[in-house]
Amino acid sequence: MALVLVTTAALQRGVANQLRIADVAVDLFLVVAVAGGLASGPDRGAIGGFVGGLVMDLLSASSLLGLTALAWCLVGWAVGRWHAGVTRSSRWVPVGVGAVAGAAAIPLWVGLAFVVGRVTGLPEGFWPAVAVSSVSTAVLVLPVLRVMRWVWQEPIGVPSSLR
Amino acid sequence: VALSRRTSRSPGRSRLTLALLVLTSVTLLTLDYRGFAPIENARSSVLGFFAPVGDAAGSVFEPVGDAWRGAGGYSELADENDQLRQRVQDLESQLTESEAATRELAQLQEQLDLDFAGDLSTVKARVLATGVGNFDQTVEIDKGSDQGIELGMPVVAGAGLVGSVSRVSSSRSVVTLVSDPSSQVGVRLSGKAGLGLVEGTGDPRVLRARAFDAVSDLAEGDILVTAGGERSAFPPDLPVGTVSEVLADDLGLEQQASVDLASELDGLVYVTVLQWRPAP
Repeated sequence: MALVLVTTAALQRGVANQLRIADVAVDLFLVVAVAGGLASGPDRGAIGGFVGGLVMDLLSASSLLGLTALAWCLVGWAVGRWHAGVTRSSRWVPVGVGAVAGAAAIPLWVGLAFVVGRVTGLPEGFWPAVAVSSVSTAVLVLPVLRVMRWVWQEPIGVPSSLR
Repeated sequence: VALSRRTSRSPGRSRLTLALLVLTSVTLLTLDYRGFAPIENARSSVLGFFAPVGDAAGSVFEPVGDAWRGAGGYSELADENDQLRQRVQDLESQLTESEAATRELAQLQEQLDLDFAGDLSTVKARVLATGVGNFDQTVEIDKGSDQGIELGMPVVAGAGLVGSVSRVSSSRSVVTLVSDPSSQVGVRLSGKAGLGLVEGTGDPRVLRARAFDAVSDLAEGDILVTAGGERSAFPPDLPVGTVSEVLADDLGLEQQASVDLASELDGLVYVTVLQWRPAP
């Protein structure tokens, strides 16, 4: 898991920051949180989201430490909780969950940032960030899901509720 | 084994895990909000650790990134090209007026005392990356404590104030831009009486000025410079921006304004760190 986090941090800083879409960088740690929830349920989704968000907070100069950790932890937990109730899975379920979770994660982060006084309203680039986050999480969740299942030694293609 | 795995994923346990993680997050938030020193040290260590890794990945993917931006912004580039052609024509026609304008500008700068670096020692730095988060108003520069950069030092570009150093490792620093919503700068009107504050709005082009006395003669086109003074985080007379619109205040107790930033924060390539420290 540590290797996944270090690799993700290097990719986030070196690649995702370079390949911006509409001036928005893809948040790879959010994808890890969503994939963690899908792969192993709410417990590990929350832990994956928390640790990934914490690294993101450490990499970011202007975020308070714990802000992204809290937001991505809630996202990972919610995805895992929802997915735990799914008894039939298909390839499109993770994609749909990724799209919804990616879109919901940005307002959640902004809402929490508003509560702790880091933003005073909708920040510049809010809507492009929501759109890019939704699409990028949907696109990247399948390959990252395979990695997370390999990391946690979960069987591939079986919903967490049936394991 | 099956029973224990099932138990380990029970809703009660997952709620407990979530509650612990939320509690940990809130604790970290509180500590960071209060400026807990070990957190700053951890951030500096992370900055130093990922600098070479990120630089290596960045240099590999920079051409891809350039191509990506070029492909994504083709229509914008075409428009920009047209605008630049028009601009060249305008400038050619204005060439004969340039000497007079230059003299006028020099006089204006002399009057306004805008030679802002003054006798301060400076460190020139290259901007390596923008902030990692999508709402970060920060840039990372290629100089750190080994080159004499310290926390809180002001950072300027050609046209004026850019921000201040908010994190330092041995070879890298992070500059929080004045456009960051947490940024506040004490300013004064250049050439006339009036003190106030400018705050970041999250928009890299526009700041919000407030707390100007109701009797201040704040007007569109006024130039704002740092006020300096005791315990100020910035030395005096660094250009900050130009008042673009004076905003009405319902209570009439203070004046507020929209301010166009003097420096262009989008696409910063080089910046100058002023080795100035606020008085203790």
